[in-house]
Amino acid sequence: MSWFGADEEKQEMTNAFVPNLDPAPVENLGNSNMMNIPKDDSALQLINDPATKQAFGLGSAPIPPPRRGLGKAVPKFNKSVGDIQWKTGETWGVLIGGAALGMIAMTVWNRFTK
Amino acid sequence: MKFGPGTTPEHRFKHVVHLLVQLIEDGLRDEYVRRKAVEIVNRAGIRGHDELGEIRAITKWVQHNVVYRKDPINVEYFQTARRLIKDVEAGRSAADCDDFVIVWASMLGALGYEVAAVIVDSNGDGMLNHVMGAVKTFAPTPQYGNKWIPCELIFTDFDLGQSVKISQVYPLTADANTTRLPIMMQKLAGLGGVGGNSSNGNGYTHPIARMLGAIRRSK
Repeated sequence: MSWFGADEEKQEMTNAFVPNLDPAPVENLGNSNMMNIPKDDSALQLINDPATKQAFGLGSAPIPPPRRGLGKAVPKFNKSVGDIQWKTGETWGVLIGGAALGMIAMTVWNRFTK
Repeated sequence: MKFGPGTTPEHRFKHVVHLLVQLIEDGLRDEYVRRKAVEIVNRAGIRGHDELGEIRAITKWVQHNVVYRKDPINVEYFQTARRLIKDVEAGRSAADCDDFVIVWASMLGALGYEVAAVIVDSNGDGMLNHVMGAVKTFAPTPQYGNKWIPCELIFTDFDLGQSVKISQVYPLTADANTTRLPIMMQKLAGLGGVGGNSSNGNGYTHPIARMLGAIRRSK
């Protein structure tokens, strides 16, 4: 069974009874001393073992090398983006689109000037 | 969440940790969690770019401010990072190892670190029985180089990299780029989620949940 706590909690129903929320602290009732537990670096060794890193995909994310000079400030774009590929159907799209745009421009010009 | 009668405790534990990692992924994108993380490192006087300083400050805050309490028998409690931070601020936190890892990893993830939940076998019996956190700095450090740094969170006197004797690890990294629904909006074995009763008790329901609920009801 699992329970996922909500981010917010409902207001408690006190039914007119307000409990004392700040009682005197009770101390020294512990039955164990949780300090001085033996420590080692076995987790550090195991998690950084090459076999573990490979099995769980724990490779480090490489930091990209900085680009030189002004190139650092300029975002990289694929140089072919925006180029029209004239040997494909894109040609017809450009031609028909251009013609339609021309017709619209001419119509608007005629309407407002004649 | 229900498991079949033949489910081994280890399988159950691994499944639980997958949910835990999803809660970390949700927490590290939570503005409230990031603000708390920034407040902690600023109040600790950590300078910018001091990666180990930030990690150590968050770790010490979690170790010293979240109170360890065991879950009820046969019940697995999970708390979102935001909820646990609010409980700490209200002086009523009660969390076990998985909750410690959720809040710790969420805060470090919110500060931009790669984080992981690491299930470990801490008593050598071959069973995975405990959860630790692990974090990685971007720049190599003199002390740890480029290594993942495991952190024991439930004891106050453990430094970075220290643990009890561990014989087996099962690390799962949190993916900050995930595009799934936040876990509190998912349908999980009968829990109200998207389009269900996902109101948090004060009458407010997330707009996306309301929209998806309306779509679901219209079908």
